[in-house]
Formats: sequence, structure tokens, C-alpha cells
Amino acid sequence: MNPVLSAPKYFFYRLLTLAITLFGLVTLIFILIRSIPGDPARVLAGMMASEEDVNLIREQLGLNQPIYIQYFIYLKNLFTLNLGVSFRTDSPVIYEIFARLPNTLILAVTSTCVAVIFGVPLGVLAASRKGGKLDFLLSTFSIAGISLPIYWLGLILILIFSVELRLLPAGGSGSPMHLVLPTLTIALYLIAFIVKITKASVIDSMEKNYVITAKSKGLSERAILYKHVLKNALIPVVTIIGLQFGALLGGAVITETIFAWPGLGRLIVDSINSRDYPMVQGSIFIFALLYALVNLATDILYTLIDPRVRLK
Amino acid sequence: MHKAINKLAAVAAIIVVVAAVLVFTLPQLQPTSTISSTTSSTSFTTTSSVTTTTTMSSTTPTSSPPVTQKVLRIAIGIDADTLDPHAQTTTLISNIMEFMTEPLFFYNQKGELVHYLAESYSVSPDGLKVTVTLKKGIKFQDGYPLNATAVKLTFDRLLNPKVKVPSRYLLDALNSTDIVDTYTVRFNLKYPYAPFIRTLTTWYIISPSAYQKLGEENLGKTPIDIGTGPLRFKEWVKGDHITLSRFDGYWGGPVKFEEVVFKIVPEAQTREAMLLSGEVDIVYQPPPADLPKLNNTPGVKLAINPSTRVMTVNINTQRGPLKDVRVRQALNYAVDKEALIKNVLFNLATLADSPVYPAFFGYSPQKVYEYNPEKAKQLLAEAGYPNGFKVTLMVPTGRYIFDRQVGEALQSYLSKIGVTVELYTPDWPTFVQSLIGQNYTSTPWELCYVGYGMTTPDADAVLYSVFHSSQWAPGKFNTMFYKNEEVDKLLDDARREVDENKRLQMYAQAQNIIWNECPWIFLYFQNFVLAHSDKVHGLIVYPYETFDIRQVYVA
Repeated sequence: MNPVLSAPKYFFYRLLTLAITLFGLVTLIFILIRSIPGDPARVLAGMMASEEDVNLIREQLGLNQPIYIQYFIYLKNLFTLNLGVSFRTDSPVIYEIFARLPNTLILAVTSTCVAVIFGVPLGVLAASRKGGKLDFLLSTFSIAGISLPIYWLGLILILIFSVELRLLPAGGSGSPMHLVLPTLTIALYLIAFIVKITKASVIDSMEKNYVITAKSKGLSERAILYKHVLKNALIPVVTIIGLQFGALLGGAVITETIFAWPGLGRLIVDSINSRDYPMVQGSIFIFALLYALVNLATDILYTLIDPRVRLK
Repeated sequence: MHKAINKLAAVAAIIVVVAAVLVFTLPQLQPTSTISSTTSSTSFTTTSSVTTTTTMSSTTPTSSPPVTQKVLRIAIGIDADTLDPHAQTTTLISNIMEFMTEPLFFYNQKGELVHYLAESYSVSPDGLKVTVTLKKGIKFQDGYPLNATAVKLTFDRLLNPKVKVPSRYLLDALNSTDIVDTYTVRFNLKYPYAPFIRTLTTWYIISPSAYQKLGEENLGKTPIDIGTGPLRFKEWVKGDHITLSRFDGYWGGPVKFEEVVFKIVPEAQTREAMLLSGEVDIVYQPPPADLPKLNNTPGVKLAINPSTRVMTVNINTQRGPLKDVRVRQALNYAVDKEALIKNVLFNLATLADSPVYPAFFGYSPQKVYEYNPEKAKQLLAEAGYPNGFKVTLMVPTGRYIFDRQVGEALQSYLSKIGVTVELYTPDWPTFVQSLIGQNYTSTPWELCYVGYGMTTPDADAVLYSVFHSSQWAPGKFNTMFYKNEEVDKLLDDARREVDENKRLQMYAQAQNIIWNECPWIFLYFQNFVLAHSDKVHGLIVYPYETFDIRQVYVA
């Protein structure tokens, strides 16, 4: 394929923008987390701790240093991929993140896969039966799915499948069974979303000139749909899936909280709540990195689906 | 023909495979979700060395009815930051540590002091030397005998400024620890400090050999065999669970289950659901609003107990109208505490008639300010504020039972006597900073709803650190900026007095003055709630928002 030739240049360009973005982000996070009130040393020392002990902890954390020195130390460490040590747990941030990352990845992958497997075909189906009963049913489902609060949906699923039917565990991790409800909760939302986008995109492509040409050529609806329309219609769908998947890598905070799923989202929220600066900075950095990589992968996917899209 | 789709599918498959490979090869992490599942069917009957997460969930329904359940499962709301027994900042994790490591003294269900690892104690006439004799024949989990060396090592570590000890303020009086003989230690105090023995309930004695083996850096991560307690550390999967296993050589007799798993479930609704679905046996703090429902649920029992956590509204006594004692009394008359307890807190609190918990040494009951808005208005008028004034009430959210709702109720009560209340509801770190990080001119609040959970069963614990004028914020706990020289003197003297009867009198006097001067709106002691399956027997709950599972069995 042609685009491969320009790939090295393209990658260099992408990596450069990635680096600049990350640098900006890292600086922003550094400033933001410090501009919310609350003293990490005090939180850490405990409410009743003496001022001397709090000061000692402040020193141990390096928070007594001028802010620009803290910033430079932070940047310097980042260059050596040292994300620092968590204030709260005294463990390296990278270790804490990697202890949660597999859980987050598993949940993101399973729910995205389930959503794609059901969402895309259903969306195509709805488009091909535009105006029919099935379309109406699917549209209703997709509006409901998008508007239902995840918190509510999660608790309802727990009530049905755990408390009433006793089929699935309500919370925790440790077996594939534990994965079912959180996956379902996220996937239901994603399916609704994908159905809507796929349908709109397919209908949109159906009205294109080449479809009219194909029709006049005498091709069957079916052939047109699968051979011509789908290729074009899938591009926005892939974009959306990529974005959603990327967002899931940051952890699905609400879902993780409801189902006691030990993922990244809860870690980030807990860290913000305890003003664990290195942990917040580190996990957002990793999240941003993953997100950027997924975006890159999505861009590459485009070219595979539609060779007209060149890497630029 | 569907070339594009095939490609898409291929790429998707590659992503999945790569992700999966990534997941399984990431360093040292057992992918909790998948691997243990494959071993679950086999690990069920084998020994406890295999990860138990799955075993637990399958124990109840399948196995032939055992006499007692082998694994006790408890759902808790927060994860530990560290498992260092001396670095705890929350009652809950400290409670869990107490199953592994034990203190010299402890308390009973009433909240009174009892001997634990200590056999007896004596205090020198000048109050500067406290000698404690240890029980004999107790062994740590690693086989090291409980002796004076262990106690000295523990307290030397606690005094080491390089070690993070959030409750070190309780040890302010301690200068050093001496070994007298194998089973006797002497604590040398800097000044006579009568409550000292009662503060020893906080400090868990650790094994010198286990400590040396682990080293300072691992003590908080894998506290293996560090204590004399009935349960030994087994596993901690962050954000998911903490598992402890039975120590057969426990001096108090081994527990009746093989393991206890503390499952970390941040959402209270989910904890409740897990109890209802049989996934756990005991639930820490179920959602308060559901308690009436749970009370009528077959198979579920509630353990509702008063706790030492006294809930108050702190009044900044150095600001505007609040400087006037009549105004502060008016605020106390303006709040219908009994209605608050009944209607807002679903009876999950006990009316306070002293800032000191009734079972504490030194408690002296006072006359509760009755609900009397007329009298309150009259007092305000006398003080020169017939039309009231405006204040800010700071309230945390989600920290105490129905805290925000209590804030709103207080707002409405005070509005009835003409005091306009603006609610300020920051998140917890901001709350703490605004509460104790400020001086009296800079607090962003005039009133603050807060609770003090006391770990030392002595009036000194709450009175000195909260009402003594040497303890003014910032950095200390007199956040009302309350100052009364008589109270200061009584509290100083009572600390140094060795005669317990005299101490009692001093504390009674101090409580009376404080009660009349109203640096607080005195409210109530918050209750502590556990929900458990009716198969759970022998659960003991202490008024320190703690519980004991030493006698628990599930059958």
C-alpha cells in the first residue's frame, strides 16, 4: 500500500505533536492539582496530627521546596520515566498504576468488543429498515441507553442479577463472572451510542451519488449496502469507537465505584481526594499517553478501511 | 468481497490480542479477573496458598453444609493506604490492624479500659514513671515471645521522627522507654500525664524479629507475622481486598474461621446488595437511609451502637456576634436536637449531655439545652442582635451520617431565630484545611459541623486538645478559638494529678464551664452501624466505631 511510504515522516510528525501535547498536559495537571485547596501533608498526617509532624511530612514529600523547583524535579523525573512515589502509599506511582491497569484494560476491551459486536450490526439493521418497526424499536432503545444514568443502570442490574436472581456477583473482581455486570453496564451505553451513529452514517452514505449510480447499474440493495456503503459509513463509527475506548482507558469511575472494580478511575478519584499529587499526575500522564496511542491506532485503522484516506 | 470489513475485523482482533498479551505480561500483577478463574474449580479444596478470591464466592452455595463457614467475608468502604500498624489515619483500617497486632491495653464493650497484653501497671507518686508488666507466655505470629524488648522496640519506633505516625500527638508526654526485666517495661514521661495508660490502647506491639526481617519499607506493604493477634497477614490486592488467615497459636484461642477477607466496596448500595445476595457476611456502614428496610429484611441483622464520635457545631468564638456568650447559648437553644436525631438521622445518634463520652473517665453529665426558639430570640435581643445576623456554616459531604442534610436542617433552625446561614460544603481535604489550617480571623466559616472520634477513654482526650487555649488552630484542635483561663488551669492540673478522685472533680468543673459558655452547639454522639447476615454469631461492637471478630462464626 502506498501510504506506508510516508509512514516514517508521518510517525515523526505524530510523535512530535504527541510530545508537545503531553508536555502541555503535564504542566497543566501540575498547576491544576496544586491550585485546589487542601494540604496533602495534613491529609496524610491525619486530622489530629501535630503541626511538627505535618511539617516533617511536608519536608519528606518535598513540598517545602519552592514550586518551580518542584516542577523542575517533576519534569526531570518524567524524562527518565520516573513518575515518583505516591504520597499516600509510599509505593512507586508506576507500580500502583500497573496494579490497576489490567483491570481497566480488561473492562475497556470486553465492553468495547461487546458493544461493537452488537452495536454495528444493529445500527446497519436499523438503517436498512429505516422507518420500520425494528428501526423504531432500536431507536427507542438507543435513546434510552444514552440517557439512562450509569449509576442507576448499574444499581438496577445489581438488584436484578445479584439480589433477586443471585446469578452474578454484585461487586469485586477475581472471576469472569465479576466482569459481567460492569461490562454490561458500559456496553449497554456504548451499544446505544454505536447504533445511533452507525445508523445515521449508513443512511447518510445511502444518499450519496455513487449509491444512485450503483442502483441505476441494477445492483441489489443488499449488494450496495455491503459492498459500497459500509466501507464509507464505518469511518465515523470507528472514530467514535476509538474515542470511547480511549476514554474507557482512563477508567470508568462510576462503573468501577458501583461494582467495586479495582480500576484506574477509582485510583485517580481517590488520589485527587487525598491530594496525592504524584499519583494524580502520574495516572493522568499514563492515561493521556494511552489515549493518544489509541487515537493514533484509530487513524491507522482509517487507512485500512478506506485507502483514500492517506496518512498526512 | 467484504475486504474492508475483514480488515477491520483483523485489526480489531489484533488489538484485542495485544491488549490481552499486555495484560498477562505486565510485571508482577496477577490479572485478578481472569487467571484465578481458571484455577477456581481446583483451588476450591486445596490449601490456602492459592488466591482465594474465587473460592470465597463459591463457598456458600455449593459445599455440603459445613458446621461453620471457612471464610468470613466483610465488605468495607475504603482501602488501606498502608498496613503499617502505626501509620493509620482511619478507624476502620486501624481496626483491621488490631486483628493482627495488639495493644497493651484495650477497651470493653462499654468503652472502659481493660488489660490486654499488659498484666498490670503502676504509676510512680510523682506521676513521671509508668511501669507495665506483660502477660507471660504470649507469642508473636513468628514465634518471638512477647517481652519487654518488643515493647521498647515498638515505642522507640513510635518516637522516631522519621517514621510516619499520625497519632504521635498522643505520645507527647513520653520521653523514653526502659527495659526493667524480661516482662517489665518502664515509660519515662516528660511531665506527669495521668491519661497516659489510656492512650496505650492506640499502640500495637510489633515483633522485633518480624520487623527486622521486613524492614521499614515493607512493614506497610506486607506486614507478615508482625503481631500477637489472632489473624496473620496473607494478601493485599490494592483496591480489591485484604485477606488475613488464622494464627493457630493465638494466646486467646484460635478464631473459628480459616480466613477473613475484607472486600473493598466503595459504594454503600453495593455493599448492601452484596449482603443481600450472600456475597458477604458483614457490611461496614450500610446506606443509612436503607436501615429501616434492612431491619425488616429476613436473614439480615443490624448492629447499631453508640460511638464516641461526638458531633458538634464549632463556633468561632472570636468573631463578630459570636464573641458574646449569650449569642452562643441562643444557637444552642435554637436547635431541636431530638427532632434532628429522629427526623434527619433516623435515630442513628444519641443525644449528648457532655462533650465527653459517657463511658470515658471524667464524664460529667450537664443539662441539655432544650429546644426553645423564644428564649433564643430573647438572648439574641439581649446581646443586641434582635434582627439576627449572617454566618457561614461549613459542612463536609459524605463524611458523617447525613452530614449535608444535617447542615440544611441547622440552616432552617437558625433561620427561625433570625440567623441567616450560608452553607459551605467543600471536599474533605479543603474542609480539613479550612478547619485547622486557619487562624481565627481567616476561617472561611463562623460555624462548622464536625465530629471528633476519640480513641482514648479519658476526658483529657477531648477536653484538652479541643478546649484548651494552648491548642488554638492553625495546626491544632481548638478551632473555636475558645479561651477560658479557669478551664485552662483545670485541664492542666487534671493532666498532672495522680489522684483519680481529684481529677474527676476537675473535669466535672471544666465540663460545666464549657457547657455554659457554649463554644459548640452541642449535638449528639453518632451511632455506628454494621449489617450482617443472621448466620453471623459472636460479633462484638465497641463504642469506638470498631468491632471484633475474635469470637465470630458463621453457621
